[in-house]
Amino acid sequence: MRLQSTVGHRLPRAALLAVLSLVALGAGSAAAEDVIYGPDGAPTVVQRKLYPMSNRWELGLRLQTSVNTPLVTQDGALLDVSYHTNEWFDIGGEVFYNYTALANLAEVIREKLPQRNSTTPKDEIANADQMRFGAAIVARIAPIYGKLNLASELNVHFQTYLLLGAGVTQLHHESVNLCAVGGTGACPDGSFLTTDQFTFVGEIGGGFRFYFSDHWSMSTEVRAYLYPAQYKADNDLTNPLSGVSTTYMGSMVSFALGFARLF
Amino acid sequence: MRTHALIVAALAAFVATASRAEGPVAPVAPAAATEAAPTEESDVQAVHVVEKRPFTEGGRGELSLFAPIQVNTKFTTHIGIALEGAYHLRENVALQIGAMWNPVAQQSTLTEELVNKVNQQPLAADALLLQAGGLIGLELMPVYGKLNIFDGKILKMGFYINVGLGIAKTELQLQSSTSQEGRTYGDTGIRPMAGLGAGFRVFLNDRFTLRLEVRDLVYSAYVSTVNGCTYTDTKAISAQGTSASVSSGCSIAAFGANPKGDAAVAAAQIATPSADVVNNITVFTGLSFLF
Repeated sequence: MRLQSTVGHRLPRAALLAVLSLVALGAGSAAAEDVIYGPDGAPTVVQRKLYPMSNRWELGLRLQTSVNTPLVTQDGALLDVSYHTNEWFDIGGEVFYNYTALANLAEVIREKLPQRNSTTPKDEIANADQMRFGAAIVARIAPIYGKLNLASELNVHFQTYLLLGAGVTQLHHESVNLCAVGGTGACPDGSFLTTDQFTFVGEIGGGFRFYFSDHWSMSTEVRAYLYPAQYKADNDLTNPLSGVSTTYMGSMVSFALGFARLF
Repeated sequence: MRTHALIVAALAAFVATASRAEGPVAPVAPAAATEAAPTEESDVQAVHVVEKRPFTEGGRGELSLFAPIQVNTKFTTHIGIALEGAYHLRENVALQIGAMWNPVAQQSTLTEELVNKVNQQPLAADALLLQAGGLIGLELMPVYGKLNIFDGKILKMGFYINVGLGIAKTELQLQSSTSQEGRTYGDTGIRPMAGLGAGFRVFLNDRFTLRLEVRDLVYSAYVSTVNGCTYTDTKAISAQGTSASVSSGCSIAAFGANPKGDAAVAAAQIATPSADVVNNITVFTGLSFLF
């Protein structure tokens, strides 16, 4: 009787605890998420973001390099401060500085420039602008938040974003083929036409943010800087004052990689 | 006794959670699915549960249509269309066979500027154009994930890498767009090609996926003949036109309406045979159908 009594008390107690645990788990999961059924009929789960962004400030530093300017090398850094108004939108300001120079290809072209003459007008080679520094207001929209399983126990949360910005930049232009010294001889070193100007710049791009923690993340992005650029057409190569200035839309597409701190 | 009861409860909870995680209709609780209840003695054990995927690619075929666009357009520009078939041996391993054709395969703006403004042009090997190509290869998709869009729709995704070997049909642009005849091309033959790519596959449902991939198409570029004609042949054609005596395999007709002009350009390009390995970095954006 005693044994029966003991067993009779033990099993219901264990079962009760099991039921309570299940109820607790079920309640917890029910509160944490809603069920969404996909197009295949299988359920999927909306999980709350592990790293919320709403109402937080962000300070970011990225290194960038130009990928579409074979005549010019442009490598620099980008510092930005932004405020996240909600989970998928932030707006802020940024400044950037690039170390710029003519690329090796431009030097090779200069070494093989044909003899200058006044009989055949020539256009200046375009897309040789050097974007040295600037500042812009940038807005980012991040519609996609996701999670990758790199290994069985390592989840990486990420966000993709698109950006749009507008600002001012300083352009240094050093002509590849127009000489600032008149005559028919070869152009002396350091004597090619140069100009410097401030101009409007627009930005468009997109990228990924990979979260390390609630405060730190790494981002990688591709962005295009668009600006009004100019080259001189119909030049008398012996006369640096000749030629007609022609405007086109210049672009510098950069690849950037850096880190950000959320506050 | 109490400890035993707690263990039983924890096991029951775990089994219940695991069955929900793997079951066909129940949602998965992220916290509960990844952690078991600790015992009173703090023998904490992290128990991981594999969430069953709603569908699998394993054992299925896949047909993909891409719009490849070259992104390193220094001397050349390529825009095309590509078709790829794949068979997924497992969820994360697939055999691939694909072909691409570039209706836009031409010199870049910079190359034409160099020709027109400073009478220069890149070496033939550096400006070799990829007219068409095919690759057979293997794909590995080691990373899975999921994403949601504006906190709503949830989609599965995978990150993959692939390698392939194949052939490339190449050509050389002889006249620029500003010439009287417009752009003309000369055939430079078939070359071996390799591809190395990495990309994302986003599953819209169990049939359709969006794909975004960057692939480095590497092909050898040794240019010593154009339209099968050697330097000597092209010099003869540029001087005598269609009446020139050329070696077997040289096609004068392939130089088109202006054989003298095109052959002269070809002669200048191959006067010193050039060799290089061309890296054509291309973004493939496309849609796949799983069957």
